[in-house]
Amino acid sequence: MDADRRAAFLKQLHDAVVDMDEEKTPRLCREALEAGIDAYTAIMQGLAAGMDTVGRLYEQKEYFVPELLLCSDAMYAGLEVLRPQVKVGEHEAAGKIIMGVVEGDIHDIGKTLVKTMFEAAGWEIFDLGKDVKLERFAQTLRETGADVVALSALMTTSMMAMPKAIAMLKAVDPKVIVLVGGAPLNAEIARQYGADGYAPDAIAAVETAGRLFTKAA
Amino acid sequence: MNSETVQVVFLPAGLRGAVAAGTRLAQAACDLGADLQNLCGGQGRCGKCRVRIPPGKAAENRLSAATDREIASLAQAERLDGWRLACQVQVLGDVTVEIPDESRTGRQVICKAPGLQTVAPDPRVRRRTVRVGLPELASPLADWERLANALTAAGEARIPVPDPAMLQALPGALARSGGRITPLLDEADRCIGLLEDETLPLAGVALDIGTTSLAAYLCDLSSGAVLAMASAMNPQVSFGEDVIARIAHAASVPGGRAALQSALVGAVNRLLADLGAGAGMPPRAMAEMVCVGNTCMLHLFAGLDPAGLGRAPFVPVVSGPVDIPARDLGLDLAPGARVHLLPVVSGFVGADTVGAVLATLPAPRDDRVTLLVDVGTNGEIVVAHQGRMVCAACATGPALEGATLGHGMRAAAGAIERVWIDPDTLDVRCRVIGDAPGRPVPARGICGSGIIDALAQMVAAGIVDPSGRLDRRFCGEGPLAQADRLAFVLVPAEQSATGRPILVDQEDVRAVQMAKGAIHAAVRLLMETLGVDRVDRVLLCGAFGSLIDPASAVVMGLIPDFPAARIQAVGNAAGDGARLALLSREKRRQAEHLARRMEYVELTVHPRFSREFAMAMYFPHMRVTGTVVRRARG
Repeated sequence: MDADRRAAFLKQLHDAVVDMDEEKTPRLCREALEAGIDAYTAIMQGLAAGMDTVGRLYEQKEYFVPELLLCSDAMYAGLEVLRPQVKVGEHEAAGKIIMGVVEGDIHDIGKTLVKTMFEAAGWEIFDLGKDVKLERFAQTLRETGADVVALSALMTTSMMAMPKAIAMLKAVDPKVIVLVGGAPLNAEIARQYGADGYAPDAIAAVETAGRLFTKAA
Repeated sequence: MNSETVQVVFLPAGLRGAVAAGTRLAQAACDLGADLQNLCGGQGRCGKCRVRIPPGKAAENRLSAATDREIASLAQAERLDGWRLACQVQVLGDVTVEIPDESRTGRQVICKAPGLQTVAPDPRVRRRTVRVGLPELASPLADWERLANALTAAGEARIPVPDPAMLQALPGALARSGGRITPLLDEADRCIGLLEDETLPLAGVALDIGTTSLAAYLCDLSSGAVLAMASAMNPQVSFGEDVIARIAHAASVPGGRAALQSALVGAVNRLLADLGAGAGMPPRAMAEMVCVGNTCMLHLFAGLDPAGLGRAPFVPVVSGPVDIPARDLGLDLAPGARVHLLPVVSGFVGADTVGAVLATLPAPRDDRVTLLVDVGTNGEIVVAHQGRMVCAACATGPALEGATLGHGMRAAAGAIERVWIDPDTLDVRCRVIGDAPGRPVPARGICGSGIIDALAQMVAAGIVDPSGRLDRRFCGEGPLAQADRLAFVLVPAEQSATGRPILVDQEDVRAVQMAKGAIHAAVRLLMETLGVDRVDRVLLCGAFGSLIDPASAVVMGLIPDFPAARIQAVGNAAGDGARLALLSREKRRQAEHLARRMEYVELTVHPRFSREFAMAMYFPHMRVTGTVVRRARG
């Protein structure tokens, strides 16, 4: 297939995600596969590139939470088609990340958005869900040797569990990068808690994780 | 160094006092009783505690250096002019501090008029006037026994029991009244207090403890009449804006829980004094109190540990009704008076909701579907049909009460409470609290009913699109903030009280979208839980500056549009429920029964909540607009 046609396919995929089109995106994915486009390329240069644009639109305050969720629906619908076609072991993940909402807290909309953005950025994700016991974060870190752990809390009360969680994680692996986020947090609290980074939203979370991870490597 | 104290003077109130050097200014204001907002609990995020230390009067070394938060929050010109954030700056030497109007909590105008539902009075307390003779050497009977004898002689069936605190007041009361005295008796025949003036009514107090405001009604328990009303800010606001911030304060600061309780009890005692002054009776003649409030407020009032409310699964210490001796709480009621707390449903659906249901709900066999929405710092939603009731709570945040918006404020004088925008010319007209004919009050901010109106009008005029984006064509760059922040000006700088324009910016719209989206989604999911697809009656309650305009609530999608439904703004239904329970023991039993029957739905774990929430952030709703608003091309 010529490069122009390929580029046009990838651009269409990108646009379908940005346009929140949950039906068109998987259809385009199937067409792309039939046209002989490599599944991994379609993910990274089509779907993920689309989410990248979505992130920029969010930062420019063009898009808000509803748009992020709908774009992520479209992306996941496409991923479902493409992922089974990616050859195992051929592509390395950007990094490994554990994420979850800390114990006592069950608000996970923010964490779901963070997960989407990491998914789009090609990270291997261990999502522990919500109301996660602190010991489980440490245990999962022991088992997976993840590079980054991202802790979320929506309430001031549950946020207070974070310093303990961070201490436990650092005891397992002093080099692990811990990110924190959620409504009651800010950069200063994150610093006091001993976190390596803070991000105010899902888009910034991926950037921060990527930056700290590259620096550490 | 630590023992060194410095003098702080707060203007315009002129409050002054000594505090330890290094104390944060916000703490000093709290210690000295100066009126200062502290919405974010001192994190330097809300920017509402702006104060000015006039340059020249205070040498630089009397204050700590500006923090990053202050630099982010205040323009350089403002900092040079002496503006600081009180929660950030530490006092190191004697200073004089100006608290501007907009940083004061002020006296809130609250829609707290009690409702008109009548009930046959059947109170828990009664009174009986008797004459008590003087003691004689021949029969040296004690004061209490002479009073008890007089009561049985006057027809009391059982011999009354003395409340020990009442006994402390007995000799003085007998002496002052010349022996003609009116004891207050409760249903267990305990003598709980004494009226020295027999013309005083048998009276009790209904109290509504809101997260941000308090309302109290003094009621004649024999006739049901409201004798006096009073309202005030909940002083706990200075410990944090929402219940979670207060739970965190109670848990993390030594003595925090006691400080929260005593601040609240102090404010309630001031309300009792206000009520007494209004009705011409001392608080110690008030026989009983019935109290509603959200679960956290009742915990903090009763001195119960709220920690369980701050973490999943959000359980209270107790959910049934609780009776507490008023003196255990330090309340100035009759010596043996009790405080009855109405029951709660769950950690986030409290006695305020139970009270609102008690005051407004139709008979169990009523075939109409009723939706009750109580909008406050938390939103509570009840859907009822044929005696079945489902309820939920959502953390709306204080945006719909006007707080935490860029130019938000509580419903006090100077707050914009109604907004009209001409869709053709985009001319804005506002009604401001305190406005009088010919004597307009300049606006200083926007309160809850004002922001709901403003958004409805902005949607109708196309200033904001259904996805919540402000239209660049109508929204100049926000003059206060970064150049990339869009804002729509409601009141230009030259007409405002602050000398700054009053505006609605993109962040404000987003905050309102989150709040109204949560309520709207909750309504839809509860209807689904109950298995109904229509609503016949909508009751909007809450303490706003003025009642929410029902049309605005529908246009901006605070609630779904039910074309056939009658929407009523019912004011403070929770307080009205407290009044009914005060007057009638039967209503108290009903409240207990209601609380047990109300089915609580935890929305945050509902599998479709986040989806419904997101769709409901649209104006008025994504299903209504029928399409998503895509990025502008090119």
